[in-house]
Amino acid sequence: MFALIDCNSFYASCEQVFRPDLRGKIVCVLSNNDGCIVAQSREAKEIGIPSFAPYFKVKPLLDKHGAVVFSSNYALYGDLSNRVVQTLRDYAADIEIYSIDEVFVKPVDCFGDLKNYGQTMRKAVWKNVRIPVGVGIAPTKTLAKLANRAAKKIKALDYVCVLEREDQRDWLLRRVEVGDIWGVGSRLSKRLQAMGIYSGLDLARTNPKHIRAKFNVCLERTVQELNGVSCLELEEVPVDKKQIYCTRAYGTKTDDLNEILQATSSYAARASEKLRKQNQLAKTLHVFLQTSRFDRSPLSKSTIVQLPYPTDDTRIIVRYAIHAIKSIYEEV
Amino acid sequence: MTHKPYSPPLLIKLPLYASTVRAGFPSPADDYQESTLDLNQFVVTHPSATYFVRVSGSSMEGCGIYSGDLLIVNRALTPQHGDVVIAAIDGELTCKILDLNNSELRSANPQFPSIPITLEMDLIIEGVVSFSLRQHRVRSN
Repeated sequence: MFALIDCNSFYASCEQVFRPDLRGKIVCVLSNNDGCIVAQSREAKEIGIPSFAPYFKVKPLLDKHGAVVFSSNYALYGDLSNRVVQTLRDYAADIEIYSIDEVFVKPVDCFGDLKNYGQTMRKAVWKNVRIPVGVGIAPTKTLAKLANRAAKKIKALDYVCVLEREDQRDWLLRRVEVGDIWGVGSRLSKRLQAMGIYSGLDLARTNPKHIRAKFNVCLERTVQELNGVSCLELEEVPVDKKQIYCTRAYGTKTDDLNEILQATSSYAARASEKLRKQNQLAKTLHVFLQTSRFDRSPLSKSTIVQLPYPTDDTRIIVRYAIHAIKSIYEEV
Repeated sequence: MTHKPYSPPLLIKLPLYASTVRAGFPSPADDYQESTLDLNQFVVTHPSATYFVRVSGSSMEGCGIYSGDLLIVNRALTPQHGDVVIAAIDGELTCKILDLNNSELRSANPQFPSIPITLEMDLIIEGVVSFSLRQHRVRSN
């Protein structure tokens, strides 16, 4: 069995932890540079604030409803995420931190009834951290994700959904679009729909071998998992990244070379930090510069630089990054 | 009130002296170490459920909690009668004594009235104050 614990509207909920006056209110969190909405409380979703909407576009609607809007505070979100994970460790034989607000848990045996187990974890996270979560419990990770989604959408489930029986699984799969299954993106779902596979149940009923032949082994595993056959285990240690990117969009447009060089050196330095953290060396540097995507004719230039030898030395990486940016800048 | 997340630092072990030190000269004969005390382990029993709060106001002076003190608040403790708690009353955070016998939230200062606990009121206990910290030597900046 696998449990997926997912925090509700995580960044918005984080801002409400020490602001009990904002619980149950319309709360939004903005991205870096306050560009777009990255999180909305349930109440904000209900008045029609979509995810990733540009802030300036929804500001009138937010002001009309007296919404409270926060700039992102990643230090807070990271800290609260750790607390959620630490709290869940007491209820888990094994844990996988899937993202900042999602955790896969291998249940311990002593809690008996799985629904009760899910509620116990939910209450513990609320008590210790004041973050509301939804829990999905099922025989595979893919089904646990599905169950978690149902836990949040179906009120009667009270934020905990357990899929133990095939009929429960089928009931849910019939009502889910194939594109909403974990591992099926928009591109894949278009192809599947062209083949007459529209619902999660349709996908579960396909022949895995045919899926493997027409698509890939990952989708085959998804089909197996939808049928209760576990193919994915908990990932204990995050896999080292093969590429490290450090990029930012500017708050205000600039074409001052010095500003750009300053930014370049700080991103290159940050990327070097991440590299050293992984105990790895890099031989290739990819550097790029873009004008605003909203300009009439946006320009974009990038270049690949070979470093003299595999390195994690900030001084070398920064020097080459600056040199590369200077040469691109001329062209842009 | 200002809130600060708690992050466990490296252990700093200080020797714990077996006899109490009176405000005069300690006896050399008493001077031996028994075990080491780490303040973080001593004070923060549930790191994931603990946060710090800076006090403002005089409503809890009778408890020895003064403005500027740091409160160590533990959500994992189940509030009991007599506990100093952080309470959210109508969404506003405040520090009070939980009096379950009389169903009220008391201050520790006669100038501040008690607040009766009713079924309809919007009240959430946001943690039990397990320790408080006062700085006696204030650093001049």
